[in-house]
Amino acid sequence: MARKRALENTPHRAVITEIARDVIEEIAREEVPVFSSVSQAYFADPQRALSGRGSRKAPLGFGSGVVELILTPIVLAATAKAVECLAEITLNHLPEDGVRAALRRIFRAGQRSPGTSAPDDSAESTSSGAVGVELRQEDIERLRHVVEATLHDCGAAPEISRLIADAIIGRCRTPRSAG
Amino acid sequence: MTASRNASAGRPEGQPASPTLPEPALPGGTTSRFALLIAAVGVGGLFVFLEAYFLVPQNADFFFGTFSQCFGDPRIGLPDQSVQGFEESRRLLSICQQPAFFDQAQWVGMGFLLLCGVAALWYLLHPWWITRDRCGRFPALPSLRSRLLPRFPSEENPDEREIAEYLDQQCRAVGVDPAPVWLLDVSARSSNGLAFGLPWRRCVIIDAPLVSNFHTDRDKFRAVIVHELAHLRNRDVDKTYLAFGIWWAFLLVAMVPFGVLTLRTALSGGPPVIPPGVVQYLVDVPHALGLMATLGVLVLLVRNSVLRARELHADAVAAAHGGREGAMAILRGLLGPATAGRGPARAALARLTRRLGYWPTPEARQRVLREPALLTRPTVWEMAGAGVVAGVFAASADGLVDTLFRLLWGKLNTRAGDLTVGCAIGAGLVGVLAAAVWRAVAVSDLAPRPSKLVWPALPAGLVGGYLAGASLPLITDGTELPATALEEQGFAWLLRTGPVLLAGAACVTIWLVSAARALLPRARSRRALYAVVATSVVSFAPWFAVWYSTRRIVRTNGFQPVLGDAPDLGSSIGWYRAPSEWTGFTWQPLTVLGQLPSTLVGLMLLWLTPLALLLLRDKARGAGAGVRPRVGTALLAGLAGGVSVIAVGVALPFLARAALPPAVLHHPGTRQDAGFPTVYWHTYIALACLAQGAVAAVIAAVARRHRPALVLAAVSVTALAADLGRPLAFAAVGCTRLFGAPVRHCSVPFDPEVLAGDLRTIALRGLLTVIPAALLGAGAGTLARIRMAARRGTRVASGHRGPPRTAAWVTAAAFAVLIAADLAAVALALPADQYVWELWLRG
Repeated sequence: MARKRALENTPHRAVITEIARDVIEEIAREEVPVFSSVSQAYFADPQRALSGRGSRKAPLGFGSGVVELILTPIVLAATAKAVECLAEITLNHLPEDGVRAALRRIFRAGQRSPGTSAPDDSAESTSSGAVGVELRQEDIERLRHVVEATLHDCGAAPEISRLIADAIIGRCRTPRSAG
Repeated sequence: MTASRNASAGRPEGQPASPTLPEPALPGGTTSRFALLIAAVGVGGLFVFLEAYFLVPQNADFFFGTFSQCFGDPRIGLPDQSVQGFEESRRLLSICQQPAFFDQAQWVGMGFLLLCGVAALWYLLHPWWITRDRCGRFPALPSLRSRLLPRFPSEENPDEREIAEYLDQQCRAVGVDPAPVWLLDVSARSSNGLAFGLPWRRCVIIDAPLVSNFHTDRDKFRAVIVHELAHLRNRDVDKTYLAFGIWWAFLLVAMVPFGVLTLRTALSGGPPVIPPGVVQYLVDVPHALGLMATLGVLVLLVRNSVLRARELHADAVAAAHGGREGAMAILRGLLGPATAGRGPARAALARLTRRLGYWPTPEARQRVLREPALLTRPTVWEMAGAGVVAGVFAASADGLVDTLFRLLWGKLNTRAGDLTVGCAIGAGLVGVLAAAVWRAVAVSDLAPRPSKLVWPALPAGLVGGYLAGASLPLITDGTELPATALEEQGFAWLLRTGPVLLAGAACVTIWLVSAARALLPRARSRRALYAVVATSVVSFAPWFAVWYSTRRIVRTNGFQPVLGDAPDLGSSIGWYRAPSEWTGFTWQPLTVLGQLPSTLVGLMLLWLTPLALLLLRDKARGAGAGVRPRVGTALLAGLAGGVSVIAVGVALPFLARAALPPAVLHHPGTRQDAGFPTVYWHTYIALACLAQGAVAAVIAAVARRHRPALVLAAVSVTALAADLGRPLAFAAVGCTRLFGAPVRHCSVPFDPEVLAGDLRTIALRGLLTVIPAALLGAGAGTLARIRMAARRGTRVASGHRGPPRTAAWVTAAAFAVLIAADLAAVALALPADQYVWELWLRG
């Protein structure tokens, strides 16, 4: 129960939801109608949402025995891991209350279409004034590794894992080249 | 429609959606299967409760203790050695035993009450059961937690609005109002739907992956949604979950306790008190467990057939609303996991389990989608199942009716009880057969064409199943002493009674096929079906009841005709003796039928219902003579037959006087010896029967359609004419003093009650010639037409000429006369019948 409450009240839930939704819109647009419900279920009980037990063949059902997966839960899991990973990275550079804003900037959260300006983060800027963290190449690679490991644990096929990872990583800012 | 939508819907760009096909209007037979399930559980429960009663020590103590006390009464145990003494002893015994049978009846009643309660509780709790999650550690078990099933879709959510509107549109298209509550199963990993819910809150669960198909495979999405809506529209939810509730109730309330009690009794050595000399009612353990397994399997198979039929029906509706695309979508959706890699035995077992399970196999679903007519077509197994259920009920009914008679009237069961139970069972069997034949005829012109064997297979399956079910006590009862009349006969009862039942079922089927073929092409509603079923039940159920009451006769074979007695005077004359014996025969089923008022009414309805419906519809639509039956020909032929009987009857005294010596003619007979007047009367009846046979052969040979109805109408005219001509014929007897009367009596004797009785006798005995003559005539007529067509080099069909026109008022008048005569005969015979019924009731 504590874990359940923790996920429902996770501080980065809004970011995770927003990013995951954008990823779904990009790679599995047909799942957009169910995204809201599935994401609520995920945050209520991520283990159950990822368990994929399938449906019972009950009377008055349709009777199709084919197993079909939806990507939303695993995208949410991968996004959550990515956000968690990046939160650790940014926490090294920023105070805790600036992490959320930094994450939003990293993932360009709030930007729904090209050309739309990012939302005003001035309210979330930290007392120190720093509002962004530049990601290094090794951060990106670590992020990709975490995301792909999570997707592998969720049972996603390699092609799908790559697709999701690319979509999530693609939301991050391009790191400055060294030197 | 945008290109993307076209692509996602699986249609080439620019191509409009296919028009929706009309719904299939063929009867599916699903309601009759559900009724069969209830009957199976009722019957199985009755059998089990009656047997289980004696397995409880307290019950056995009370029951046999009561019997012992009764026989301890000297008025019962040592009655006066006179008829009145024995009668009084039997009366006192019946009254004394009433508490025991009342206790037994209470036990059975409580069992059924509990069974109904458990079934109802299961049904009411099914929404809670459906929404349970699965146990994390043991996925096969349900958890107490409910699954997360949020309401979906919402019109307020812009992402879900389109789906919400689409679902509303589908509800309107299928005709589901109010729309169900749509729920989303977010943890599902298949593209299924699930309908459930109580009448005031119907729900449909949509699996989350299915929603994806809304944009990628719209046809599949629609197919699943419409399939679930079809379940709601067909009211499948209540029937399905009640079927499950009934099954679980039967298992928990009847089978399990019976099994436990049987084993307990076997381990403890039986009830402590079994008075010596009392017939042992107990079943031994192997037979009891076999009985339990048989009944359980029977109920399970019937339940599963109900559920399979429901699914196939929903598929057919879904395909009709989705058209070809919908059908293809369903076929794609049915592709399940492969079963390769299993051993042959396991694969065969898996196939059998799937075939008999509550889900139709994908192959069966695909076949029905390609050929919806298959859904309607009844199967021999279905008929056999119905027969088994009726037979098992009959096996229980003997004991039950005995109990009821003792309770209500304090006497043993009599023919009245058998006839009543037989009517109930007969009504069920005839109703099932009628519905099945109707369905078979409805699709007989659709591909794939049924084999001609289906017509005899349906009644054979029904009768075979009934005989098997009714023989259950012979299989399950391992006691040494026979407890019932059936057990006294052993399996020989099948040979003795089976052929008669099969012949009767065949006659019923012939009539049903003819009526269905005549009425179905013109039927726009189910009224014709109801009329045919009601007519067949009213007409044929009493016939079954008579068979049912006759089969219990042990000492003599009730189905064997008994030849009449030839008068002693004249018995040396060979040609006189044989006809005297044959014409004076008695056949118990006919005798009993003759005392039932429904017999004549039933015979009348068998021709009146189809002909009246045909004529009324032809008149309403102004149809030409091509579709009008040969009513006029039948009526004329019948009248000619009747007139010929009268003519021969009037001439008969002169022929008799020329052929027989006066001593024979003047022999009046005694109580032990039939006299010439009796032989003369039998001869006249036989002439009437022969004339009916001749008329039947002619009509059957000439008519190509509606033969049973036309034949029965024609022979009804013959019978009535012959009956009304009997006074004329016997006036000739009196006028010629044929019987040796001292004075001539040329007046026409007119006794309405005698005429009524004679009409019934002529009509019933006439059937013994009408049926075979009609079959022969039909065969001869068909052969003759084929030969004529071959000679002329034209097809048989083109040789058909339209029937002669008959004025409507003539037909109506003839019908009115026939109906009035039959009803009058029934009314006039009531006082005499009532006396016989009282005898039957008294025993």
